[in-house]
Amino acid sequence: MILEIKNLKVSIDGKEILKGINLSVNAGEVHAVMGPNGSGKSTLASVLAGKEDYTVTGGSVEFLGKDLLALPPEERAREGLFLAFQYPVEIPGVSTANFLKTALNEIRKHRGMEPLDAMDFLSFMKEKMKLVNIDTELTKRPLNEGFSGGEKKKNEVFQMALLEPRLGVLDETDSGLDIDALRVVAGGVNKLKTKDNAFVVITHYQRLLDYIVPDYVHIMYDGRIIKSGNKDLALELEKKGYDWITKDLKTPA
Amino acid sequence: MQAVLAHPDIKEQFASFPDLLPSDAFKGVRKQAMNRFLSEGLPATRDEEWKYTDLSGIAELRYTSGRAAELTELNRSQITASLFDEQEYHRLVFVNGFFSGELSSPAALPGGVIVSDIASVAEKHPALLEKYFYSSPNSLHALNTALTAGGMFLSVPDGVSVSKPIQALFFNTSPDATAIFPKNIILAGNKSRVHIVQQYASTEKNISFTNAVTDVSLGKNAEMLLYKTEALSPASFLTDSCIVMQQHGSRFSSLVFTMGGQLVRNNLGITLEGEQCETAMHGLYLVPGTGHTDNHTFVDHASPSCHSNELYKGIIGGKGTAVFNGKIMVRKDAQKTSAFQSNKNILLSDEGTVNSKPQLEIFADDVKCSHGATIGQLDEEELFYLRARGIGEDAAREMLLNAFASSVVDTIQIASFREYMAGRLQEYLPFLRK
Repeated sequence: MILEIKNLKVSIDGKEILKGINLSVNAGEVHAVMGPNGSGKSTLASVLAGKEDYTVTGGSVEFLGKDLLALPPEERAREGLFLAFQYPVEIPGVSTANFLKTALNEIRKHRGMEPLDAMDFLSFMKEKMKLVNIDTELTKRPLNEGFSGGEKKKNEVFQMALLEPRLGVLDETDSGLDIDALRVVAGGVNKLKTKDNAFVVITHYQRLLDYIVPDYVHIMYDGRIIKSGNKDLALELEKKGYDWITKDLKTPA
Repeated sequence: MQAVLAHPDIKEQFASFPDLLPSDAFKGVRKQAMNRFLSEGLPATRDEEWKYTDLSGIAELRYTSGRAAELTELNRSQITASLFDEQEYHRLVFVNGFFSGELSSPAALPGGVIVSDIASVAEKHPALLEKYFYSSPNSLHALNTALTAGGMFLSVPDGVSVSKPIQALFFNTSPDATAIFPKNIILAGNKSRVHIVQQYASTEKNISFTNAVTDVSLGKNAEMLLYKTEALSPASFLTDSCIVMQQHGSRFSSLVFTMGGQLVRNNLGITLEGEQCETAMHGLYLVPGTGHTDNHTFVDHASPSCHSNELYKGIIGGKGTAVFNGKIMVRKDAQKTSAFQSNKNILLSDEGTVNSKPQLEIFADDVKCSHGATIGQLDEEELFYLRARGIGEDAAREMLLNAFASSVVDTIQIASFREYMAGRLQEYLPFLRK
């Protein structure tokens, strides 16, 4: 088991956003989490990565057998959790290459591996860059600064390739991408997929799932997973819209 | 009238300091300067210019002149470690306020350039200095004139370009409280070019009060870089005044890099006397939780068609305090002036303080001027992004602070010095705590 979320309840400023999430992810699986805006999808991603603005009011999250919620964000990353941000921040003055080398060596240290020197890092980076078809120029620029929306998302997947996580959480990585960029991003994820890792792909639209085929699809609404199924569920949702799912909930449960 | 009743003792102390300049030529002017200091004392916080910088701590110590301070082997190696490669720099070293011939390496300089200690110039060629022992504009300047026993004298004749930068290092080692008064005189002739790195440094245990004055003049079309670093012990006080005069078409670029010290006050005053001058003022202050750094800058656009550009950045840790006061004066006839100013600060805790004050006084109508000041904290979103990639909180903070500060370090035009300062910045950041 890579990830096990049990009855997770989370609030922000006293308002409950997640109202009891249950989700189990095994190695080799791809899970899609879909849902309308405001259903709590991105909150779930942020809470998994360790963002401090949220208060966990109940439930538990186990990641590779450890209590994930007890770990600071950097420890979660070192243990092998990776969040591809919906809105990657621009950090002027920090070079992309230097940032990646620092991050990679922190993670290698945690895994008991020797740090890579500048030369080894460069060739390792070049190899990973091919996966997402990213321009060498981008790694020389300050982190995400002046990157287009597509470049920022590619950069997230590139970082994921480099850091080799056990669990990749993609938070609406498809939003704002044209079809070519979407293909590149999805192709990168497909190449990274192994029998030992897993992905949770959060998306509003079905179209990403044409390229990253999920083993399971979960539909979130109002802080809960209200329906789970296989990839056909996403297609049905696409055809019938979110109203199809939510109208049953209008009557008190 | 006794202006500063709170510090009678400091006046007595300095009044009885020995005159250590080996020349009789300046006795009169030094006596006058001492009288000026004795009548006014140290500046007090009721003076608007000193509102946020309280010098009363300076008066609580008993000072010696630093003359008798013994130099240990450890001190010697600490100083040597601060010296730049003599293949690349001319070096002037002052230990506890006094010139050290042994540690300095005056190399052969092109035609007519003089790099020396003002004490020996005062002894051998007092006439060269007469203009610079003038009636002081304020009491700290007067105190410097009255008691200086050394400093850099640099004179570059017309048309001469000094190829290597000059390192002037003032290193304080004495564990007993010492008061030193460096007076530096930098004269760049017409169409001359010179690069200078001026450094105030001390051992970690040093206790000192350094009250320095640097007089700079740039002739027509002269070019000068004047980079200053101030890396002093937590018990040190530094008050520094740099007065710059620029003639037609000259280009001046300055950097003031402050890290540490108990109290540091930098006054930088630049007068653009001639037309078509350019002046750049850069500053970076890293203020530890116990420190106070104050930068007062004043650029006087006295002539038309000059350009000034100013960028000062600060990082303030713990209960540290910082002041930035940037005055720009554009006089009535100084048309076609462009003047830009920016001051940015990061406070690492809720207990730090910054007072940032831009002061623009514009009397001409055809000018471009802008100014901006920000005081903020590290961006939590940026910090989270870095941590979410496995970078620990402290390392992530340092990475962001380094990025913030490096835009100032990047302005340094001497490559080896830029790399050196980038390294010093990196080393110092862990000392700036929340």
